[in-house]
Amino acid sequence: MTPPIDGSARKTLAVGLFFLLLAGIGWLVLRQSRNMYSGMSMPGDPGPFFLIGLCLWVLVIAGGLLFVLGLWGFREHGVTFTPTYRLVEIARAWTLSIAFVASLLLMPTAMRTLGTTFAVALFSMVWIYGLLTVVRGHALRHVVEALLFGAGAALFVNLIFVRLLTLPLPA
Amino acid sequence: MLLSSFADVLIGFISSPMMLGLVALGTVLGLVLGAIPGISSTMALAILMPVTFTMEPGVAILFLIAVFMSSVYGGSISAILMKLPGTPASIFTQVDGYPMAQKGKAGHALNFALVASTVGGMVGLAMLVLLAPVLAGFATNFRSPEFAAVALFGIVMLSFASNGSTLVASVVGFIGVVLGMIGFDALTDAQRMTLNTPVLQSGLNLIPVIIGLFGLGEILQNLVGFGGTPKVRPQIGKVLLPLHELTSRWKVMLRGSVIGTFIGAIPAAGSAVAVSIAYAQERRLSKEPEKFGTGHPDGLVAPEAANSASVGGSLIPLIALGVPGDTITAVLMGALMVHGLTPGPLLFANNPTFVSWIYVSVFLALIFTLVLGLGMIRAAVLVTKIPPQLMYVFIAVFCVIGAFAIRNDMNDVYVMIAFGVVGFVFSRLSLPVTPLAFGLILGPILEENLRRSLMISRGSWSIFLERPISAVLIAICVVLISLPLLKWAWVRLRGGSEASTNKAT
Repeated sequence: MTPPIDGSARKTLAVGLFFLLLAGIGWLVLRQSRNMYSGMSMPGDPGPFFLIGLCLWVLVIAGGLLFVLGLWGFREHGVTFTPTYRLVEIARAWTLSIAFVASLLLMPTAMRTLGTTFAVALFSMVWIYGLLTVVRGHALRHVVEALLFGAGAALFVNLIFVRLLTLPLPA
Repeated sequence: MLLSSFADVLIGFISSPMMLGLVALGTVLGLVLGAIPGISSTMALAILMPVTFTMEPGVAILFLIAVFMSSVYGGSISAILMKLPGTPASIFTQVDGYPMAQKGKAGHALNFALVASTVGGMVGLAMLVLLAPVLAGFATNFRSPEFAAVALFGIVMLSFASNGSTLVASVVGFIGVVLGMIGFDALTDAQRMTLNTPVLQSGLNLIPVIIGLFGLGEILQNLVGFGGTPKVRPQIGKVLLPLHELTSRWKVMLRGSVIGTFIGAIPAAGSAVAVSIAYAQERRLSKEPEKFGTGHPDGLVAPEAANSASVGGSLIPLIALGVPGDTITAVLMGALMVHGLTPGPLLFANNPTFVSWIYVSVFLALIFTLVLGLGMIRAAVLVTKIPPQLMYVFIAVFCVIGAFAIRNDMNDVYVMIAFGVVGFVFSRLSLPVTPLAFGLILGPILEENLRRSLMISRGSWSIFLERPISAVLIAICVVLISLPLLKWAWVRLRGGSEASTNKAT
């Protein structure tokens, strides 16, 4: 039988494990919520945790099924190990996304300490320069472009969101 | 009654320069964002939604509908000029649009697409005006069991329409349902999945989740193996088409529009399904099917009309039942809810003027898209040349500010980032993201009505089967979920019988 996720046993197995992991976390959090609850339900009401529990059961069954199908796929098509250079390529391809998330996680702190306008300018300049360098390599022109567009983004945010729409963004 | 209300609202709009300016601004933004590869209509709507937080509800919806409608055509610009569909629904536009551009007829192709899009949009709007009140009137008889069944139907239908396995997409929908139930329970005041933290007690706000999933998630996905955009230099050529070229294709436009409207009206079927059916149908009916894919105008006109018409279609279940027709209408529903408006049958009874307001907004957005789109055909080339690195950075900034602005709470920014990562991980695992958002929206509706129904019936589940509408909807859900299993069993059975026949022979 063809594995259901993209026809790939590896992906099917990963999704199965992912679902099981989510279900496990869900059950732990749900147990904590149940322990905190001491109220009564109305007659006929299955209670506040019924549907969550039901969905988590679905997740467990689906996760288990996909896990088994993934293993089955490996048995039928054989296990192929990814070469190390390919793993390095995958990790390199993900670097930008991971760095992007990390810098975004710093944004709230930067907004509080530097103010929204400066935080936006800093974030935009660094990333525009970084992405320009990835595409075309390092050049002084890219620094100037990054400075200009970063300042433009900050000015836009200040004019539109802070002054025109008067959003209470950290100043 | 309806026409006079429509006319009153339309006159009110036309006499207000501010309103017209806002439609024009929304249209231009939608055209530009929709034309940039990698920015879908959903993403355009999600990142521009925060701009409307300080606006009056009607004005906000007018602006968002203008963005929505124009981004649908905007997606065709990059599909025709660069063979890069700006939106998933533009996939079939490139099939005949790009060969036309290669022959130096990009201007004609864009013009065909624009006119077909406007005609399709108008047919979709007419259907919306005619069918939504009928459906809403029918839905006033709905009680808790029907609403629970409709919510379940919405989740399962979306899963069925998603790419890949229906079962897996349904499971993703149920993850969304769980996420939608985080926070205090309205009936018992129980804290659910909150980890006793104040941040989660009021539940996950829909807007940061949507911005994260469809805005940041797509950027993170585009950054994997990022290498800029290919350098394509399309030639526009002549822009204006001979009138007979357009009028002779009225049947093609009408067929595409009708298909688009009805497919779009099926909850979760979506515009991508509508365009593929419209294209296949047109090719089947064509006298020269062999020319499809080589730059045949009919192959461009039919999916474009269907694409735009599906917008009106997808608004029918949203306005009449409170069930979004696709991802974009789910975002639009979030925007309505932010402004204190709950779509559904009661909207017609309690706020009929607002319903007319929506109709007029769609109408004006179509007119503005036609006029501004025609004027911007030559400028379209410039839009496709905006470097993606600039767009990604600006959109990320919009995502952060938009998530913060909803409640002036930095925690929402972290929620947005977390769901951006979720969207990214899901796409890497080939899991559909849309059922997650649908589950989040429809989960609370499902739970509330499920529990209310069971309280009415004193815990008897037969209440869902005793009422015909809920029974039919639940039966459809069961069939749709079990279809892959039945198909698998059928294939195994046939394989088995064929094997035994071969053995016997």
